[in-house]
Amino acid sequence: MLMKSENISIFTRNLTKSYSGDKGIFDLNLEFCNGGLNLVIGKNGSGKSTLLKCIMKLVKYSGEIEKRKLRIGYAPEIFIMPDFQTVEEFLVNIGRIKGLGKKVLIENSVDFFEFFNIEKYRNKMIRTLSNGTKQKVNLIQALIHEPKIIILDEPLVSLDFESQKRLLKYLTKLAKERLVIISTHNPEKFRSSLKRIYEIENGRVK
Amino acid sequence: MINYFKLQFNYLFSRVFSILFFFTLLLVILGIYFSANLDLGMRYLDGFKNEYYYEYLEQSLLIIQVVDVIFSMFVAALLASKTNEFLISFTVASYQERLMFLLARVGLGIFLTGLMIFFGGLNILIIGILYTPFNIDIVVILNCLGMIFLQTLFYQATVTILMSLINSLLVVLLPIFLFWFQKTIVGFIKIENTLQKIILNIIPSFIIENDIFSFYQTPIKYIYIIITLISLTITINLVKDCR
Repeated sequence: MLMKSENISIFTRNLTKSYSGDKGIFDLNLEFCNGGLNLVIGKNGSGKSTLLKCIMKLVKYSGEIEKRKLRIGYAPEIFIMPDFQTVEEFLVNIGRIKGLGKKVLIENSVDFFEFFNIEKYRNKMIRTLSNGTKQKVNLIQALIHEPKIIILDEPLVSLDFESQKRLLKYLTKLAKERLVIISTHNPEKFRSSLKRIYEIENGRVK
Repeated sequence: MINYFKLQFNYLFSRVFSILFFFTLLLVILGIYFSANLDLGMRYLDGFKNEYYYEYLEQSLLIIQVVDVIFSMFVAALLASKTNEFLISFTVASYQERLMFLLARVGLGIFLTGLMIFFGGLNILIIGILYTPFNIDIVVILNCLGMIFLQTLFYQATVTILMSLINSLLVVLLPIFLFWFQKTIVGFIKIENTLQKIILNIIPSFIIENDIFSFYQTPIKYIYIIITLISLTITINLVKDCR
């Protein structure tokens, strides 16, 4: 369990990732800390997802990212899950990589299935799920191993209103002790518990 | 590392793939069984022992070769697919972890190919020793199986590289065409054409003529080529941007 006084932070220095046609992010100097939600906002194509991918080291970049080696949970905005695995199989497979045993993973997943109200999909094949349920599974895989750093790319997309409300409450609580970074183009939903907000436009902080 | 291997294994072994895997194995077993000409009877086979032995050897190895090369390409295509690539986003947060993910992916491909060839080889020996009068030369069979293994690894690596560069299942057609072309030119000990020479020197190839077993290139050179291809596959995927 984390002590309340422990600081978890991520710094970026001159972070640049450019794609063809002026797309990408340029010279970003940002600081993300625990204690409240860290929001990255901006229009579609502004560079929010690219920033999160850089932090996750999923793309090559120039500049520096300073972060401690802690458990990270990441939920990408666009994803494909293995169609022929059940939800539970998928979560156990991913969770094992993140260092949890099968028994703990199954116990933890029960709580999350209840939280997102998807208990009945536990043994269903992923290909049979709706987009909303897939998004819930995507969020569960990022949270199930109790990560210290949580990075969620557009977490509210495809969720029903009730699930959105619950998730917001849960993330707000988590953000007091853990580092939570969220990218969204719906910042008003997160207003109440913000720590930092960065607006990105054309790859630069506005 | 073992967890990454389990991840890849569970990803690949869906119910559909498992059925296909066992069906492929069954195909190999049946093919080898029929190539032994057991229906002719022990006495008849004994009368033409050498002729039928070489026929058995050639046909059963051809079955293993064709089925395993196609199977290994299929496995490589599945492991290099978009869905598998997205598993990186779910599980990897550093280059070291990505390297382990990729090594497990390559490792699983090699393991499954090896397993298929092992079962095929075992089958040749069991049927050959127990049900036929042939004098089975285990050394020749092991050499041939080893060469087939190298060949399947070559095609597996080629498919993975192509899929990493051009993410479309259609690219698998290119190695299939290459394999077909290789099969048409292999068999001639003296090759005059330069392109054919290059192909047979790069892709692990061998010929058996009666009791003569020969390579077009020393096996160690084929192994170097395959190690280079596999290293290239891992490097490309390590530096490549994920979706």
